[in-house]
Amino acid sequence: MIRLARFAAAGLLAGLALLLGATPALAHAEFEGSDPADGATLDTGPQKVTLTFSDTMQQGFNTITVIGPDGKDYVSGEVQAQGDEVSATVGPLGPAGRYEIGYRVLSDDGHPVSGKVGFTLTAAGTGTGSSAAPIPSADAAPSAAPAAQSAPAESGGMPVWPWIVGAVVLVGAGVAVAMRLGRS
Amino acid sequence: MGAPTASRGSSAERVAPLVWAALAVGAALLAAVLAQAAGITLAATALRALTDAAAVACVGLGLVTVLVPTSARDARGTTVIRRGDRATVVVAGVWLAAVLVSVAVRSAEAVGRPLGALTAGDVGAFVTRVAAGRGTVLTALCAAAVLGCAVARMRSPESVPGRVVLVAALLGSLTPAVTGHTGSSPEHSLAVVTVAFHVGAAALWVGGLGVLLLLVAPHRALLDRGLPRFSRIATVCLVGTALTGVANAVLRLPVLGDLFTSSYGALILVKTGLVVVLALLGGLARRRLQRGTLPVLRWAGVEVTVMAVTIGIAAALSQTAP
Repeated sequence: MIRLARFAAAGLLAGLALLLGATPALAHAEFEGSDPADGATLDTGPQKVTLTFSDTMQQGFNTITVIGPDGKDYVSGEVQAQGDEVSATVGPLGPAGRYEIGYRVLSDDGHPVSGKVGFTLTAAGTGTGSSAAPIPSADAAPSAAPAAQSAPAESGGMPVWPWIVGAVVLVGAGVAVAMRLGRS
Repeated sequence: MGAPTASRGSSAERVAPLVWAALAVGAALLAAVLAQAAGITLAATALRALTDAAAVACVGLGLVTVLVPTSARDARGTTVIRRGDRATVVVAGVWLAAVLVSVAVRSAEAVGRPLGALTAGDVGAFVTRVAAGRGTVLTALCAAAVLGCAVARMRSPESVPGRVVLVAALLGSLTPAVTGHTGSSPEHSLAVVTVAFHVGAAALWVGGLGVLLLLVAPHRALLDRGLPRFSRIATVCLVGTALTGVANAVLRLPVLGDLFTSSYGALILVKTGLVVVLALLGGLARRRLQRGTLPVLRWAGVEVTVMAVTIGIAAALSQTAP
C-alpha cells in the first residue's frame, strides 16, 4: 500500500509539474469581429482589414483574402498577426459590389479556423486586384489544399517527409534490433 | 475469454491488442465522420486514436511492476515482468512512430500545405510557435523515454525502476489532452487540471485491465495477488474518470442544452453511456472477486473492448470543438 501511495504521489507531482509548465494559451480561437464589420456598407475601400479572435494569434500561419465581385483578390502584402488581431493591407478596391473577406487562421491548439465575412462597396475604386488563389478551407484535407500564400517562407526549402519516413524506419529498426538482442 | 489457465496460447496476447487498437481507431473515425468535425482531417483523428491507444498500453505495461508484487517475483513473476518489458519496447516504438507522423500531418494541416510539399521550416514553426506543436514534442520525448527505459530494462531489469516507465508513459498520455481544445472554456486552468486527471485515471484503468488480462491472468497465483491490487486502483480511477469527465463537460459546454443539440454533446452522451456499462462490468467483476468466484475475468475482455471504443470516441471528441 505504501508503495502504491508513493507511486500515486509521484505521478500526481509529475502531472502537476507538467501542468504548471504548460503555456496558458491553449485555446481554440473563435472569430469575434472584423473591421470593416460583416455587412458594412462603405463608400471607399478600407486601407486594411482586421479580424479579431478570442486568443493570441501566431504570425506566419494565417491567410486572408478580400475577393471582389470580379473574383479578384485585393489583399496586397503580408498578413500580420499582433495580439488577438490578424490584419492584411488592402490595395485600392475595384468595381462596386459585395466583397468577401475570407480567412484561415491557426488556433493555438493546432486546428485551423476558417470563415468569411462580407461588406459592400457602393462606389467603384481604381484597383484591379490580382487573380485569386482559393483560400484553403479548414475542412479540406491538406492534400487537396493549395499552398497558402502567407504560410512561412520556404526557410527549409526541402520537403520534410523523407526525414519523417526515415525517423519512423529508424525507430522500427531500433525496436527490431533491441528485440533480437534481448531474446538471448 | 474463459477461465484463466496457464496454457493460454500466446496468439491471444498478440491478436487482442491489435483488435483493440483497430477498434479504437475505427471508433474515432466513425465518430469524427458522424460528428462532421470541422477543421481536422481523418488522418489526424486516426493518428490521435492510435497514439492514445499506444500511450494507454504503455501506462498499463508500466503498471505491471506494481501489479506483480516484489514478494511474488519467483520464476513466473520474473517471466511476466520480462514479457511486459518486451511488449513495452514494441508498443513504445509504435507510439513514437505514430507521434512523429502526426507531427508532420498536423503541421501540414496548420500551414494548409499538402504533406508532400511540407518543409522543415513549416514543421519547425509548428512545433515552436503553436502550443499544440510544443505538446506533440513533449509527447514524443515521453514516448522516447519509455522506449529507452524499456530497452534498458529488457537488458537488465534492475537498471531502471518500473515506476519510471509508468510515470513517463502517464506524462506522455496527458500532454495531447492538455494541449487540446480545453483552453477555450472560461475556467481554463480548472479545465486543464480536470482533463489531466480524467486522462490519467482512464489510462491507468484501461491499460491496467488490458495488461492484467493478457500478461498476468494466465498465471493463477500471480492473478490472485495482482487482482485485488488492480481492483483498488480501478475503483479509484473509475470514480475519478467519471467525476472529472462530468466536470469537464460542464466546464466546456456553454449551455447545458447543447448536450442534446450539438454533435459534441452527442459524443459526450455516448461516452457517458459507455462508462456506465464499464462501471457495471467492473462492479460485477469486483463482486465476483469478493465472493471468491472465478472466472472473474470472463467479462474483462468485453470490458477492454468497450474501453477501446470509448478511447476512440474520446480521440474524436478531443478534436471537436464544443
